[in-house]
Amino acid sequence: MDGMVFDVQNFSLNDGPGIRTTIFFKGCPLRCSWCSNPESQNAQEELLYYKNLCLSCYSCVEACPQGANKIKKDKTLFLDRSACRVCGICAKICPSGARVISGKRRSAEEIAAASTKDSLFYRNSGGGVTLSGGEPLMQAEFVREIAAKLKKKGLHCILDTSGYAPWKKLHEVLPYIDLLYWDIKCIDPSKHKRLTGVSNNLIISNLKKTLRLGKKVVFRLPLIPGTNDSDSDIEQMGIFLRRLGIGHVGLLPYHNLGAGKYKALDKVYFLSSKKNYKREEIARISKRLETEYGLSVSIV
Amino acid sequence: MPENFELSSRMKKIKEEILDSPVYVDTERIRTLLESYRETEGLPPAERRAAYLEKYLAEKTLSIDDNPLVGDFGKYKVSAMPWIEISCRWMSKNLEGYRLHNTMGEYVIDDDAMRDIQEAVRVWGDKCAYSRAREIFEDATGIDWAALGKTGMYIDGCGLPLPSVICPEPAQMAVKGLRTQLEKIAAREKSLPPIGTIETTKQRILLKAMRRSLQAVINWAHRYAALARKMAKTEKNPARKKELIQMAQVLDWVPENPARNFHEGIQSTLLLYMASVIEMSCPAGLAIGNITRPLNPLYLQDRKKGKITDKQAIELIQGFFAKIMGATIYASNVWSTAGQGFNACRISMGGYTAKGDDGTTELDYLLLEAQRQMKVIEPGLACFYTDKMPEEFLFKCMELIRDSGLGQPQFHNTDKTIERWLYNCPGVSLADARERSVVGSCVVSVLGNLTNPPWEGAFNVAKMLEIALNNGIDPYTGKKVGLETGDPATFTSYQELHDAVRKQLVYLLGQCRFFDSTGFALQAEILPQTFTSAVIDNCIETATDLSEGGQRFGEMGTIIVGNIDLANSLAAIKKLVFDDKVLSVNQLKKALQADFQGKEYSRIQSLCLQAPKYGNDDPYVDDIAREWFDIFYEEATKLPDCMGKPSVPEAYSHSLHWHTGARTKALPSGRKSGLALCDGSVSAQAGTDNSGPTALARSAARVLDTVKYSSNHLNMKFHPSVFKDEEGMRKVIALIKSYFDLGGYHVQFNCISNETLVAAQRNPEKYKNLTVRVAGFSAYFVRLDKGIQDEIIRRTMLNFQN
Repeated sequence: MDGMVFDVQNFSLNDGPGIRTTIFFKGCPLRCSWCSNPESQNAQEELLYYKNLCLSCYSCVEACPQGANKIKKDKTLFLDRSACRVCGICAKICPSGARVISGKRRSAEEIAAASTKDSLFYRNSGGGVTLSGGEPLMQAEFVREIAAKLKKKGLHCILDTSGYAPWKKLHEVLPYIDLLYWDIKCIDPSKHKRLTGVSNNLIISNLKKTLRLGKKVVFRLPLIPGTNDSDSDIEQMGIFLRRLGIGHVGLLPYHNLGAGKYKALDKVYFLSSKKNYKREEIARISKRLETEYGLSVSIV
Repeated sequence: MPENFELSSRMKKIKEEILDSPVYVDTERIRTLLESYRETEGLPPAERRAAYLEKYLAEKTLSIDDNPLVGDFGKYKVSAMPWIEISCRWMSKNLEGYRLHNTMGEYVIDDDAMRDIQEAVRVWGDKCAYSRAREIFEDATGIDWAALGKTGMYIDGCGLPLPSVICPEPAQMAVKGLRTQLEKIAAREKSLPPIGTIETTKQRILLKAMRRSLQAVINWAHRYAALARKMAKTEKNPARKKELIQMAQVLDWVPENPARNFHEGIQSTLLLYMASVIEMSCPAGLAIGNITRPLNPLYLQDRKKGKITDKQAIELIQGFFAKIMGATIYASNVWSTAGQGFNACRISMGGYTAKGDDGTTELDYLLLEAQRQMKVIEPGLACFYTDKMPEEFLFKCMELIRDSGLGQPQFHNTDKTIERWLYNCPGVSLADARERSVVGSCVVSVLGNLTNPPWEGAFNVAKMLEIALNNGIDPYTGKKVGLETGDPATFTSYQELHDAVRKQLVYLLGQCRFFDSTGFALQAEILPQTFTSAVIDNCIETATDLSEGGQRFGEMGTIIVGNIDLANSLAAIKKLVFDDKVLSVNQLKKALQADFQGKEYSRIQSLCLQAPKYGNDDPYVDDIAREWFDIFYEEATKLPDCMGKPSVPEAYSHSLHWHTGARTKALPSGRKSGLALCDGSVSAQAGTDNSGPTALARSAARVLDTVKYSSNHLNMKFHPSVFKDEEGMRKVIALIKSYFDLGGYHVQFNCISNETLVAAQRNPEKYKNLTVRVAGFSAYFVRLDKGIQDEIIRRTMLNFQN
């Protein structure tokens, strides 16, 4: 079957053990304000237009069958998204790569074959494939088919998930997954809803069920300055993890690398004024989780 | 593993003095040579060469500086010596105001040196091997060699000394001592039958010349010993006085006798290496080989007895490096750009022992640490990777890559090298193939001193397409140099174009090789290497000079340059003209002539750039690249080298892709006129390998048969933070192992510097594939916001690759 994927990245060094290929699935039910892959949220193809790379050669103006690319009075280009049908013609002819289509329908066979090419690299490094996104479980059947194929080929497979999906869907994927990377954003359900658009009740119940099945899970906590890093946030997180008998958490400190993509999508980046963490701040949070809650902490 | 520490203030000063010193053109040798040749007029070449070497080493200006070792190439801290016997006409051009340079800087020629060169050019201008080769070639073919050379299709090798990619294994000789060779020669002389044939007479002359040359080198060391004693007499500082006396004692003993401790070992190695360099006045490509395996027992023994600390051993190694830095090449304008005036002097580490065990020694760790502190381009370190190598050693290698920014050490696949020797040199022992596989220069593997120089010229195959597209005319010079293979507009299939390119290749490679082999044959005739032959295995036994093939095995080969450009170009034509039919040959040719300038032509360039590109594990184009590497191999091996043996081609670029690229017009690959061709032999066209480093590694390992070719050259770039912790290092090590498991032979990692990031900001089109790697995030550097790019440049925190 087919699914929507926006990137297949080999030699991924930070998405699990060893050398990995990361599959980025498009579409996510959450709308975290800090998301660094805004193009992963929408489940359809999207056109990204990087104005900083535009040479103003106007090739796209002529090429667009919808006339969605317009020249403004000041000679700069304007992309009329209401007219754009994301056909991709402009991206194909753009000489500077300022226009990119994110997302492509690809078959499970194709993705599995692309992930298998690096088998030797996985074998030598203890690596494998990471299914990431977006939220892969938005396309649970597609993901299950890919994971089943990878399992058959003997490849190590990680599911990198927010945990937000009907249990039935997650449950069906789990047999083919060797390891889960689970992002927990915050423990307070109403705050979670405010930050991500959804409550975390489902996430937490899925997590508990998954752990009960004896699945190996690595927890990761995206830390966003002034958002989910207050003393009480950390305290709740520490208590929660300890209660579940979890010994390790990976911290994902906020970074603003995705800002350019928001602009390219004509989306507003609400966190544009947010500063990245200072080393000491991360160290302080990390130390607290270690000493007060007995967790082992790594910074990803 | 030795502790990491800072470069000592003594070595720091020595290094800085060398880096601050201009490159002086040293003509003392020329003066001696001209004088000696007047004295030996009419004698056989071997005698003349031995007499000249004897005279030069006896009269050469000597000095002892603060370096714990002695043994200088020339009389200056940094010297370059013209090799007038081989090629010198261009040197008078140098005097006319060409500003030439090598990696150490621009040449400084004083008035005396200028007069010496003028005199030498007057005497040797028509007699040097290069001039005579031109004469013979032009006489036979009626083709003007200069016209061919100007097209950028070939960089001839015979303008450089013949043994330029040879490894005399000086450290092995240091532990044996030159006396062993003298005894060997005496025994060989006795074994010659008491008859007077042409052959035996020639052999007697050569053996005697070898004896004289060995003695000349021993005497040279004794001159240094005398100088050290003389300086000790007036030295006030007692520590320095002691050091000078110790130096004198070392030089009394080596290189004549077997080294008895590490200091003697490394001192002897340096003198023996320098003697070979001096003999031909050229350090280019003369490999040092593996110095750690022969010297390690001496170091261990000294350490056990408490006679040496790691710190002292490292300082001696750094002294060795410093002397190598001072020996530089006097390059012509062609070689200044083609070779960047680079010696490609390499020291090999690791590998196997004769029995196939891990060959890494304690001294190898010290070499890495010495270089981590010194950070010099020459000599470069090369790691012969094996699966048996200790993790600890590989981590130390990673640390050097991270800290030095030099791309050192480069990695070689020892298993492939062994396969190559067993395949290429029937009769080679498994023990020799394992133990003596070292890097010659750049990335060429040689079998210690059992093989002779594999270097000939470098052939630009991308040029063959240019000439075929223009029916025999070179678009760069506008001259007709190739065959009339037909107007490509009339070709109805890709195969017809393919055949036309092959015809040009066969014809023009034949011409180039004819010229170059002639040049080398002339070198062999007039320039026997009487010293280096005496320290190379088998030359004494066969009583044959190495330039005439006295060593056990060997072949010379042409270097293939531009094959990836050719493959990308052919793939673009195949796709656009013959498969998809979106372009005609004439449209494409017009776009190439216009260098893709103008709206219509820049559209054609976009089409060309979008065609399948090598480096993405795409069989459409990779199959073409593989096919042409095979074709070149097949055609090149049909042509014999100057010794009549089949030649085996090499595939590395050094900096040859700059020189050839500057003379290659726009290509159907989408590359614009005058830009460098793809670097290495299997590196991708800039900005076109967009499928990640493992895809590039898969492509690279597949297209080139590294058993047949013996060299391939892959450059990869990473941000230093990839090496930030053991986990990152482990992944790079796994990448190396995987590439080698796939069949790769050589890989080198360069760290992406902030300068690169700034350049990427300015010219994003050239750095499209610079990827930012953070957990769960995917983006290209050039697509980040300017402010964020600036931030990254300020604080290097991310993983990059391209």
